[in-house]
Amino acid sequence: MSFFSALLEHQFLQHALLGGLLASIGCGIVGSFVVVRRIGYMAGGIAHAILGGMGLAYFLGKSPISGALISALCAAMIISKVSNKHNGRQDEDTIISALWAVGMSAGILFIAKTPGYNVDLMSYLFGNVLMISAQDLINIAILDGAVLLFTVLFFKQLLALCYDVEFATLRGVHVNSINTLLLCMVAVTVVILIQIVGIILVIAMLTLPAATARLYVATMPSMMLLASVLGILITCSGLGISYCYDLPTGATTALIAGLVYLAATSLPHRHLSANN
Amino acid sequence: MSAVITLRDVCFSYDGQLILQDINLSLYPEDFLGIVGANGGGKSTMLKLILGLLTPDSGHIEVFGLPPQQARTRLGYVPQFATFDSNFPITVQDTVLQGRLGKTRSLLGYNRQDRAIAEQVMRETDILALKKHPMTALSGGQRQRVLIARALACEPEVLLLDEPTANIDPNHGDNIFELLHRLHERIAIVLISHDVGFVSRSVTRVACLNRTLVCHATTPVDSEQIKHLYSTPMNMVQHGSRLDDKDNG
Repeated sequence: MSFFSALLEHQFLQHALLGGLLASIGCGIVGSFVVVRRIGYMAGGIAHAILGGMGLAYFLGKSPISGALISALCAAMIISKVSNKHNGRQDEDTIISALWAVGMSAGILFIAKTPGYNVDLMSYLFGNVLMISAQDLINIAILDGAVLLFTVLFFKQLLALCYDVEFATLRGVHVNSINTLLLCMVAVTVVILIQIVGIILVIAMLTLPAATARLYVATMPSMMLLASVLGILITCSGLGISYCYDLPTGATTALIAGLVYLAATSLPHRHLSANN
Repeated sequence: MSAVITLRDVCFSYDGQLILQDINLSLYPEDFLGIVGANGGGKSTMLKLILGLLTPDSGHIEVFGLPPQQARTRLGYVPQFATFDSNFPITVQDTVLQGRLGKTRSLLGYNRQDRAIAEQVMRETDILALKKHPMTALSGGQRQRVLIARALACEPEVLLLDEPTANIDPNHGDNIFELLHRLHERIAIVLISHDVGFVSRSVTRVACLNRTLVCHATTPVDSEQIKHLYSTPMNMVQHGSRLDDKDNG
């Protein structure tokens, strides 16, 4: 009860809640693509490469989120270039690992060498949803809108890419461009999510609600819808529980997402009865 | 009558190993060509060359007189379902609609005409009743029909099928051949299979592929050739005869 009264009282809690709601939309849509196309590792690479851009922006005295967005899109372009060229061979894996580690290290060095008051690195890594400003919320809404727009415009091609890339190629779909678009959408979603759960836990929010939703649905749009709803429930309960028990919000949220997925896989779901 | 697909002296190797050697083939609009041969004999590779997914090391391929990459939207391709993610959340109708890609508008969803064509090919392949079903809930034979319907939704002039009877119990395999027999009335078909018996029912020509291609326009394959193809003696089926009244060779 105390959480609800606090929610009415404190603007930072309202912002955090709204941030969670908005992030869940992008996370449900793009997370569904990430899960069915099995590109969680690529999403992880993009998320960690972001710290390099955030660190540089911070070092230069610019806004860390614009640094994050630019570096996320750059990382997405690099990964898509490599994956389009080599078509899933081993190099791709190596490039992602390299981006992952180099981005992260560069970010830490930039932050360490930034003169004056040192930013709390932990808040980049694990998120700081309680610090979200009204401007952040507007940014998140714009990014959400972009993800939604591209999904609606190119849903046919994105679905074909995920389901059967060879057939899509034969039908004249520009699979390389669509793959690049999808990775850029992942990049944008990652930028949204790092403000809620932080870099390290992005993967949890990008994959777990969608993977849970997949157990109960038969189409991609319903998977996206259910994943968004699950995302909303998970971020709200994460915020509430962390507030009541004075726990770090990002980690609490990611843990709940993991527990929900674990519970869903062990309970009866559609796949078990699919072939009856 | 001019050939719709022509392969001239086509060679292809992968990682230094020769997969296809001096392949010559002409496919005509009225053909139902069965290509048989052991696994690893290059059958799928040959289909991918025709589709322009692979490029030959030497030789020449023409589809409707054009390079394969320019002509492939006129081909209907039915891949093996085994390579798909069988848990993918998609319905029968949405799978079939993918055949409209390349012919439909590029932005937003499929239009009314696409849905009408999808409906028609689902009726033709006897899966209309399943249209709202998730792919995960289908049997092997039903999935194969969906993939055939998806290829037909492309309104192709030639249908290329890769092992359509793999992972299907024999009764359903027969049903698939009845469907193909019907389709052959209006479209050329190329079917590859490692199973000689299955191919024999409706095909008008058989070619045997094991690195090199041997066409059998009129004469049936003899047991020596079968032995050569598979390296072991096999049960043999006479082309043009029905499975139930043939003698085993």
